[in-house]
Amino acid sequence: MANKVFGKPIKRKEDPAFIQGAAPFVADIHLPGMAHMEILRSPHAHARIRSIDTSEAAKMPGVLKVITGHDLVGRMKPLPCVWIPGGVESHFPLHPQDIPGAGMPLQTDHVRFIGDGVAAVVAETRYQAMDALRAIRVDYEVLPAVTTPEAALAENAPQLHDSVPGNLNAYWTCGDSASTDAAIADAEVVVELDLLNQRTINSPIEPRGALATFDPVTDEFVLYASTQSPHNHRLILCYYVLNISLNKLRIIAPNVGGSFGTKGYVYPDMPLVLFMARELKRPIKWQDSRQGYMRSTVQGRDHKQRAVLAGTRDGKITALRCTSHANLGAYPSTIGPGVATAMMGRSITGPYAIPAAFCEVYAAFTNTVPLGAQRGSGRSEATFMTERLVDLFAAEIGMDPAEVRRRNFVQPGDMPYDNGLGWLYDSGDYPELLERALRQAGYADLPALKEEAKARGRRLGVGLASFVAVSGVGPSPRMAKEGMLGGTWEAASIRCEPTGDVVATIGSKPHGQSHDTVFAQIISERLGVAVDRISIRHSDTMGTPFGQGSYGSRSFSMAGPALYLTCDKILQKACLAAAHKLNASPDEMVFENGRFYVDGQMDRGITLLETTLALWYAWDIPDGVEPCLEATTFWDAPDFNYPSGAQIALVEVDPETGEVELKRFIAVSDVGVIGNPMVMEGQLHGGIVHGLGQALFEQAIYDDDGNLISDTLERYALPKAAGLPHFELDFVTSPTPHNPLGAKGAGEIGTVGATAAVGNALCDALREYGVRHIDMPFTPEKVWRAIHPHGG
Amino acid sequence: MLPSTLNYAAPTTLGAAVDLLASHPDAVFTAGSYRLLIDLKMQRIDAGTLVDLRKLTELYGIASVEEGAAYGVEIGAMTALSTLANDVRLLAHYGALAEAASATGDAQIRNMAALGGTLAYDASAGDVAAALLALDAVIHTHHSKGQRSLDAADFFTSDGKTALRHDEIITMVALPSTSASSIYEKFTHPATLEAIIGVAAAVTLDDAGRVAACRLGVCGSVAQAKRLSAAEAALLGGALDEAAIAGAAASAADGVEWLPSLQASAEYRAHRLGVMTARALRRLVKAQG
Ligand SMILES: Cc1cc2nc3c(=O)[nH]c(=O)nc-3n(C[C@H](O)[C@H](O)[C@H](O)COP(=O)(O)OP(=O)(O)OC[C@H]3O[C@@H](n4cnc5c(N)ncnc54)[C@H](O)[C@@H]3O)c2cc1C
Repeated sequence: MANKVFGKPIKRKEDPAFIQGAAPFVADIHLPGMAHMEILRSPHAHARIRSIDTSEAAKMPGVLKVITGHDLVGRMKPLPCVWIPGGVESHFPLHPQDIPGAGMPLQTDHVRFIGDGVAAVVAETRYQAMDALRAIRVDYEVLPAVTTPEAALAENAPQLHDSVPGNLNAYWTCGDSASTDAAIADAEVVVELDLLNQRTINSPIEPRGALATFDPVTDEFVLYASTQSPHNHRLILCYYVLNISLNKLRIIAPNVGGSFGTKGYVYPDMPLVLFMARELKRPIKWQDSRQGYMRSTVQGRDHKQRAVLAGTRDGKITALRCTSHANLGAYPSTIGPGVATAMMGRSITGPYAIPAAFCEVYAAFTNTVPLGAQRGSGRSEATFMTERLVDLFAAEIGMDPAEVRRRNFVQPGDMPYDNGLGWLYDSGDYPELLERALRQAGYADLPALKEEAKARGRRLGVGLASFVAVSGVGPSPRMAKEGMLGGTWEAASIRCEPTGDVVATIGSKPHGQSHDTVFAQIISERLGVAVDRISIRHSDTMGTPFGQGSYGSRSFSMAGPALYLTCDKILQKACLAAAHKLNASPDEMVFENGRFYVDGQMDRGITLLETTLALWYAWDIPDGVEPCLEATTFWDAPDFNYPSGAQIALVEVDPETGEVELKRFIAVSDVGVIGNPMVMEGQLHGGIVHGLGQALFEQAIYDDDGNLISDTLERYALPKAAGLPHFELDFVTSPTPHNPLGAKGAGEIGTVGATAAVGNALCDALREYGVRHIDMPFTPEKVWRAIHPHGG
Repeated sequence: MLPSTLNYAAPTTLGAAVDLLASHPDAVFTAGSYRLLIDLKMQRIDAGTLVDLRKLTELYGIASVEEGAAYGVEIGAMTALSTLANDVRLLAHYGALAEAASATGDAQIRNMAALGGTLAYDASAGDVAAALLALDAVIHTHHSKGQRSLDAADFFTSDGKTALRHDEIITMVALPSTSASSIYEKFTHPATLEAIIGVAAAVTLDDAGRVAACRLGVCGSVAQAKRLSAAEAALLGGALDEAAIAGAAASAADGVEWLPSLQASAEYRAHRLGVMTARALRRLVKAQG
């Protein structure tokens, strides 16, 4: 039967509150008696702390408390790291429990990056707290800093952590090194590429904030925080950091204004506001500024890759090899090391059947802001590298890049396909994705357009990117092998109220994804209840089942199936009650349009609401059936899901200035079954822009001393809506067999191909100048220098 | 310091505004407040008192001034950049200034930012700086000891600042009548939207098609917004043909001192200034048919 609600572009339920400015964020919450905390951060990327003098600050107007790391000794533990490089030896800062550490919230003797905390002040107002920070005197002995993994791994490099010899967190590999090297040695054609997938700074519109309350009578805390994973963060804070009972902490994550991977971490401010709230018995709020955010919240990407692709003259890729140096920053972020290894390394073969592949990653600590996930993390870095190599290979053998891709795609009939690096692709039609994108682009007509552009003194380039992006973290036993120190299932509950309303509680937490709308569409379709009678509750650890949070494009493909299967349980139970009421056997029942009826006898029926009421009254329900209609599901996927796509960028370059103009952007995506096409388009638009930002503008710039130069939006350029073309979107649907919705992750795939599509388009435009490769971002000067290596 | 309290005054006469500045060393003027509020929040400046110029009604608007047969204009310092961008007189006779104003930032910035604010604050970095040099503008001011009028060339100083005193208010900018066509070209900073380089050109051709008068101005990430005198010399007296344009482009960057920039090296900017100068001149040729 055709869907009525699921899969339809209904308007977002969350929009009215956002558009009217009525939806509160942490910054909007003001509690009676609330005081304000500010954190003093190191101005040096690497230094010893000789002494800290807080005496003047403590006397400043309005100041309530000043603490340093010494005040936390014995009262707070280091933050933990819960996703480590899987299956290999790894080294971390220490933690007293059996888990890798990620550094103390405030340092006592050694600071390792410019955002490292050394003291915290609470004052009556935020400005008084800021002023007091300036009165704290810290005597630093500045140490030499390292900002790149290569420098950190060099002999005699400055050491960041005593427990991490040589600054090497882990040496991680996947694939078969020997067969890959042999295939490269035997190959007819070998292309090589060294590239830097530059560090970028996620810039959600809301910086982070944390606000804690403490009740001295019950010893209970509430933490309001901008987090993607309230349940996990509650567990980590209670068990690993603060030593308090899990039942004493409730986390509420109000509206979160975007995250893109940066708010899934436990940051020092969280335990610090909790600590201060208990000390002062007042609500304590910390709210970051944009600049503070850029200097202390996890950053993304930062892989230095050396890659080799081998193949035959007739276009068959025979081997792919990558050595990468991943820059973890000064401390492991909560899940950073896993992102930097597996998510990149296992993804390098993309949509291609490559007989021999190998990837090795050296993950190192440096004196930079800690690294974390960023939309498309790992997969975007892998795709950029491989897709650039495929184009270089095509150029080398004189074959059309589209044709090279065609000759190497994993075919739909090969599914499930083992890529040899650890991923087992579930479903997809990679050739069809590309053909559709080529048709949309008018690929055959592009040579004429190139001539036309040239006549205008410009150069038109076309760039293809085909990719697969593992999503839907994940199958827990599988994630354990990947180094995840915890389960990665998801949970949902549904309660049918006796009034006809339905309330669902989920463990996943939205930060822009439209949970309220799309999850209601699932329930509405299954139970026949109108969307506006369905409430989706989340973001509060009180009253929602434990869930892992929103990351890795997992909400719809992990929490969605949990809800879907809960609907099954609801219907099964309701069916028993309905059959009982109708004096029929449950096997005879049909459920349609919110109503049960006896098969073949449409008029012998009972609505779900009547059934719910019957279960609520419980005056006459079948034996063995409990009253009320409510069910819960904990869902662990049997495996990941593998969305895929083909993207094409058309860019025009002004050879005199090096200015790059994006003319068209086409994205054909396979995200499996789609819950709401309008929301899907929004995810793709945002995702694509994220990739375009990295391609054209974004770069975290550190100087040699580890100072972050690009620490404001005046120096860190983001894409702006006015400069972007209309995105041409299309979809191919290959449902995943790994969840009952058939849905694949969609939050990241816009990003995954975009850098490669633009990079390939740019290099195509510059072909006549012999340009092989340019590192991102493609600033006018870099492009100009590539065209004119000897200057103007 | 980010002060939790700040004194605020909105005087209604120029004299009162100037007196407030003269008597309060920690006072600053504010026009559109677009820069000032950011600087306060970022703790880049210390200010105790804001003297808001928005109630000085005489500082608003664009007036035509008769000068014999031709017209000049006088632009009040509080006039918003969006007003300049859409003014028919400017569009017809002072194209460089209208274009520079409409190339500034985004719509919200143009609505808030005042001509005086951008001159005082952004100085050589502001888009309008190059246009005012090319259009031979005179900047009128009022301060506690009297009034001044400064040629644009004297207003922008070599330290990237302006010749303004602490208590000096820009009141008006006068543009003399002109028969030149003028335009503005911009290389935009991707983060701030400001000019990495801005170049304005105003050229008058005689009946024979030779360059009778020409003024080129540069602004942006330069130590000082100034006239491009070498390029002007290359054009003066000759036909405005490709050879002349190439000559002007080649010498455009002579004597321009570049400030450090994360976006572009001095070498690249010098090259790009040449390209922009040539394009500006070609566009003028085209406009003149
Ligand atoms: C995000 C952003 C992007 C921008 N992009 C551009 C751009 O592309 N190009 C560009 O040219 N500019 C740009 N600007 C600057 C903007 O156009 C204005 O120049 C700036 O806002 C200052 O004007 P204001 O009226 O807001 O001045 P305010 O912020 O109110 O004042 C700034 C300073 O000028 C002084 N001042 C103001 N008026 C007077 C006066 N009449 N006499 C004496 N002193 C005075 C004040 O004391 C103060 O110190 C940008 C600004 C921002 C914030």
